[in-house]
Amino acid sequence: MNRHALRLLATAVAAGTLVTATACSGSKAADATKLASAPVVKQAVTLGTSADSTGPDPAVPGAKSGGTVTVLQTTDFSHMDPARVYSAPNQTVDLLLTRQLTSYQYAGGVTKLVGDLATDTGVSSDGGRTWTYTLKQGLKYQDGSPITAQDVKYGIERTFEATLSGGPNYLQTWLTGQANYSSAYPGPWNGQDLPAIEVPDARTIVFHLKSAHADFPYAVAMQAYSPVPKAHDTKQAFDMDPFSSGPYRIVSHDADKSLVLARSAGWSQATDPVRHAYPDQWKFEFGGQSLDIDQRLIAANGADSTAMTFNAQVTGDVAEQVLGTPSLRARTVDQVSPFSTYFDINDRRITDVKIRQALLMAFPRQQVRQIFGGPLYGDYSNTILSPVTNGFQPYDLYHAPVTGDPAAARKLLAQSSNPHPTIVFAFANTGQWQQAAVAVASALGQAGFHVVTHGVDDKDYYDEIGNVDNTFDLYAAGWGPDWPSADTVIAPIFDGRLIAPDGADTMLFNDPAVNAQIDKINAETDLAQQDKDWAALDKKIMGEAPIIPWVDLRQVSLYGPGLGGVHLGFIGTVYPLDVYVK
Amino acid sequence: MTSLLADAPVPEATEPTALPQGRSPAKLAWRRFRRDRVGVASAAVVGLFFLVGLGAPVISWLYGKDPYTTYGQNQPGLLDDFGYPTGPMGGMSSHFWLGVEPGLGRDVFMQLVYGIRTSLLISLAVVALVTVIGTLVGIVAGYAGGAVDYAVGRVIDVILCFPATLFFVAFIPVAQAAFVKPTQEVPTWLRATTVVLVLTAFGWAATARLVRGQVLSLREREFVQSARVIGVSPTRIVFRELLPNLWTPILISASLAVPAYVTTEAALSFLGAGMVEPTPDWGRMIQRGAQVYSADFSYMLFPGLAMLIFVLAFNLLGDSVRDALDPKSNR
Repeated sequence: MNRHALRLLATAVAAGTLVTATACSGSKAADATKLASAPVVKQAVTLGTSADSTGPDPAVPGAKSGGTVTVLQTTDFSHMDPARVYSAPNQTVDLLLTRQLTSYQYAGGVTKLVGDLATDTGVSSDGGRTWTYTLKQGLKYQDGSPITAQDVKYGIERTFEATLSGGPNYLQTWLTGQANYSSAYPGPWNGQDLPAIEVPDARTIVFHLKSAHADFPYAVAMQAYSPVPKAHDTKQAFDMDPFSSGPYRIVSHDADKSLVLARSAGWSQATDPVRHAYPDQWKFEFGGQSLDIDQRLIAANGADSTAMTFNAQVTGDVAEQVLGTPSLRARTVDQVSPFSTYFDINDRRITDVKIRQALLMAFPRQQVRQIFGGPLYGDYSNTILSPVTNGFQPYDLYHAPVTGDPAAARKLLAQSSNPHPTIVFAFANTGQWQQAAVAVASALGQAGFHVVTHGVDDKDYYDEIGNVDNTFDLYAAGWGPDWPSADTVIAPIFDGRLIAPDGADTMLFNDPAVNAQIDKINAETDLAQQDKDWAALDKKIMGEAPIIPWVDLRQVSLYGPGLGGVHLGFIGTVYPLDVYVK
Repeated sequence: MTSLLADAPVPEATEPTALPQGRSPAKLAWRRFRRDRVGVASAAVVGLFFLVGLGAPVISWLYGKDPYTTYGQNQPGLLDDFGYPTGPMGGMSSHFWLGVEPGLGRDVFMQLVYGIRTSLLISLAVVALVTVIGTLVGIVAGYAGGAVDYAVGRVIDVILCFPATLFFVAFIPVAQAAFVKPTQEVPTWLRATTVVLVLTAFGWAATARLVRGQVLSLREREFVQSARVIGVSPTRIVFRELLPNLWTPILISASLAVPAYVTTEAALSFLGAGMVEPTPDWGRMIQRGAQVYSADFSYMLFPGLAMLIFVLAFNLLGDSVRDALDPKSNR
């Protein structure tokens, strides 16, 4: 996940910050405790069989077809062209407009990766470097024309076009073996062909990767790798009005105001194991603050009774009302999202592992979380991997109390090269982070650190901490995996060879042993073995304390009383695929 | 000539009443002020604020708390899981008279008391500088006239039509970054100095224009003309003839400027360009209050009330001072 994802996380964090006010000064402590212990759904995603992939998607109990769902969003989707889709809301709307070789099936609370356009999750050969997919029969676009393997290839070729920026770059890198993939293959608009993808017939597609990737089936589930028919490629204009391979097509799109989707003529439930298309129509309304959206969903007047939102969080202003009223509480989505937040320790500046461990030991995780809304903000984490990642093993290497342990930190500092180190704590200069800086400075000060707090302009925060020569020691960062494999977490964040301006390795961690281990795990062809090894590597890296794990974020969103089948999906938004009008 | 000289340079405002009773203008003004009940009351309130601001460390010592300790985070039970005070009215109790701050759990009363210090020190420094600079520039421009007056007048025009608030917000962080390395903290005194200097840079123009106008009208008056004719030096004319007649408008504008700068300073902190954590500050308290008001209304109430009372009292005091010094002016 690249900078876009980080931006997205920044928004997620900003949205999370709104969830500050819950228990009114007059409300009882009992209420607060009840909210605090709300259950959170966490699970890993397994590979489904070809039987799972056949379709149709198991029916949602009680669901029926028909009706119109209104989706209230603060802003329009910045991109709908699959090649440019990366942020969570964009990916979510493309769930309705695109299909992929594989996709995530959510049934009975369990998420599985299954074949979507393909009959299964893929067959690998050549030690995980060649992947073959066979397309199902009867796949059609919005106009009833057939979806072919050539279209899947063309859709992937389009992602190489330099002008179609913003999307993920996994497949492009894997197919060419180059980070600067556009120089190896510029894209299809000038008639060039990508030889690394073979299409022997209209229903077979073969990928030849430069190196082994056992998690390839997860990568092709990303919306960026959707089929696009060459005849309907309108280039840049595709972004506003993509040609749909999914269950709905665009009827009208008034940028920044509204978007209307109606059923696609070509899509059939029989071939689709991951999507339901219960509503006849989707109406999106853009604009308005999160609070306006909350208030409309609370009131649920008229058409708003069947309204929902993908990612507008319940704001602090109404949180107490929503979570304290059973009828409103019953229609909220309240789950841990895939986003993890942590504090980077700059490994180039703090080279003594004892000092890093002392920082981790003294860090006031609870005090800082409290400023951001306490339990509503998220769950404490002690690991690099989040519970939504496959192979996640809970462990607590340091047993650091969430309030920080200054005495233990002092002991660690006494054994280190400098018992009173100076720590520059950088933060985005917002009211809440300024307060957090006070808590951090106070707690670390008790442990013997000399803390310098340094506010960075909110807009520049990610650029400043992304600077490899930054002069900070401690700063907050976050990550959301692109698919539930540790390959999209540990490899990008902790591979020291990838340290670059605006890279993901913002803690500037570079351990040759870890780099070698990442290569070794990536070469493994058995996903289960990979998961086990990633979990072990997670623990090994934490032994060097490059980050202070903080919280896995939580999303609380309202939906109208006339809707059913609403839940949070892997992307970290409220999923539209199982939603029905009661 | 003699008749001109006989026209003594007595401040014209007090002239009619001064002669029969033989009281000095200051005494007369004081008499009028004492009769103004609103003025006396507001003076008492303002005095109390000054006393609290100056005596903040004493109050802290008597009260047994300081504005920096995060009591709510250190003592379990003061804040709930979500960081909000557990007690009624923002956690008001015999230990925490005005409750505790949501999130960090600092003492609200101590924050308010120390916040007065910040606000008053900054605004008084700005008013002192603005008055001195504005008066000097105004007198020079008004007395010299001609090209000097023209040049100064245009500079004042530019400054007055400049979008000052935008400039503050944009310029203050830049100015601070220029002096301090990123690995160092911006010292509190530097932050305060920057705020004072930037506010002064834009504040003197209004005073200067006011004084210039007064000087222009005084300059042509007989007592100044006669002084000039008998060869009095310009310095002496400015200080002995003009300045005594200018005290009234200067004093009034200064007394009305103090509350204006208190609110400006608070606004800057509210916008994130003024004083930052952990320096206690009213503007930042109100900003935080605006974020949490639905869950903890009292955290917005107390700083808001304190500021309202202070600004109101100071404005009323300014009005009373004007009434006392310049009874002819019409409210």
